[in-house]
Amino acid sequence: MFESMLIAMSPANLWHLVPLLTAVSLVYAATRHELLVPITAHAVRFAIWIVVFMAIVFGVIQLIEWFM
Amino acid sequence: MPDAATTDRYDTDRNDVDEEFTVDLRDRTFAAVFAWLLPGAGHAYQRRWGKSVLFFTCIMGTFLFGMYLGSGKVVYAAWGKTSDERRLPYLLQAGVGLPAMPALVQANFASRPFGSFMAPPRFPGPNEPPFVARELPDGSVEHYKDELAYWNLVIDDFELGTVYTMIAGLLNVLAIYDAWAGPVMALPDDRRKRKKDGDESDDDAGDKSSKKTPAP
Repeated sequence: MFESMLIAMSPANLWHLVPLLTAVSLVYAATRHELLVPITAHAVRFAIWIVVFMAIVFGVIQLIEWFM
Repeated sequence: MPDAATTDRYDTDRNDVDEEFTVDLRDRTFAAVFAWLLPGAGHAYQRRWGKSVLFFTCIMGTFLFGMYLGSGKVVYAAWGKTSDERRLPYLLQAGVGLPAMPALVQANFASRPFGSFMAPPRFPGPNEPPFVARELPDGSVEHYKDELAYWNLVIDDFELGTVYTMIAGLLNVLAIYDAWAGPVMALPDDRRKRKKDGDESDDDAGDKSSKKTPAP
């Protein structure tokens, strides 16, 4: 199962993350602020947070795979 | 007496918040309905042009990109008896409003006024032959259980497109709330900490009322 998950995360498929990450970050940040500068700053922080969170999940899955 | 909500202004000029702005929400019910009908329309009604463009671009961009990934087949409404025939993702896709409404028309009119656009897949009945997809060059024909099975096979990103369009609908829910209530301001760190400690009951109540005060 994990191998198929890693195959699904090929670099080509990861590009699908970019528009989604951009849209989600901007929309979420826009619901928290009214002005463009704080919206942009919040969106950048939120996007980084999402990427780090996904990297942690990826690392955990990778660890589980190693120990199985 | 007019509804106080229709004349609410969202004023923030406290020193402990690093943004200063005034937002006239106008009739917030209308704004929320407009925001649902078309992403960004509610904010355009409130003359919040920047956020209107942002919401429209991000949400419609996500929705259309999902449609592109799914070859235009991922948004449809179907309420059949089996789980395959029930399109639950449409409940979220409908969050984008009018752009997803042709699917409802297609699902409720057998004549399918928009042709194959957002039309639900065909599910042959138990006594009917399987769905015939196409005739191959050698004269044989491809048979599938139903048209949805065919779509899943030939459209590589059918599921991904479905997810994109679902997320677009969910994002518009956030935009609708923003049109109705204004931005959700985060509490400053010291105020948040005091609230966490539980000693901010009166002060916090006063703060909430000051966030949305009726226009003078």
